[in-house]
Amino acid sequence: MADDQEQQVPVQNVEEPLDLIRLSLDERIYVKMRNERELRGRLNAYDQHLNMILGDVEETVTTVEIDEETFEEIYKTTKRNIPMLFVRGDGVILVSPPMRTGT
Amino acid sequence: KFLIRNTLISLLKAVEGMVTTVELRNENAVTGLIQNVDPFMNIVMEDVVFKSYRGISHNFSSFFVQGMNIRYVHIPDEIDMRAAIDQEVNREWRMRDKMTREIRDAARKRITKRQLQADKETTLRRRQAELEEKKKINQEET
Repeated sequence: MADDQEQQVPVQNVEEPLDLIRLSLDERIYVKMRNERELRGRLNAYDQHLNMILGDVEETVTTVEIDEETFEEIYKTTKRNIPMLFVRGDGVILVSPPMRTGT
Repeated sequence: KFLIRNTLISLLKAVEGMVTTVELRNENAVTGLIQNVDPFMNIVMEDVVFKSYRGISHNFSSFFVQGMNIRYVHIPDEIDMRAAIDQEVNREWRMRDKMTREIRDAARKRITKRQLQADKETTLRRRQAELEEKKKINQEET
């Protein structure tokens, strides 16, 4: 990474996109994943592959069912709560602060 | 170990020896005792229950999951992830400090070694010069 310092750095230099995620460490975040999944949880750790450890997560799976007769699309969401989760980075699409407060 | 430094896999190794659930990309889940996690996130498990997305369960005495197929790994409540993360970060800093210290010590040793060599050579030359002088004086006397 760009800054290699031996002491703890209180001021955070934002130099690359991953640093933006560093700003959200220990905050609640929203993660959009592949296969129509969304996670909302507290970011405990992440790495360059975007593997993440999230605490108190709520997973939302969105499915579309098409009614055979009326052909209307029914969006169903299934939610799950998991206390502590390790997420593999290749499933992550985007990371953002939770959308309700927004920054 | 080099392969897993600076990635979260070293934290995932904290789950080794615990019973937990691994969810795969193809919507299947495997619950069992995690025997080993390797740098590619491949997981070897023991005494597993394989639950397919259709809800059908199979039991296996040993199971190997390829890292690429993993979507989630549930982390049991017994593990204090925050403490593990802090430990890893401290280990990183300590390793880095240790490495810089070792490099500095090695460099210093090299410098002192070079200086010692140089000093030895100068004393050798001085002694040789003295010997030459003595020889000349002896020759002059005789």
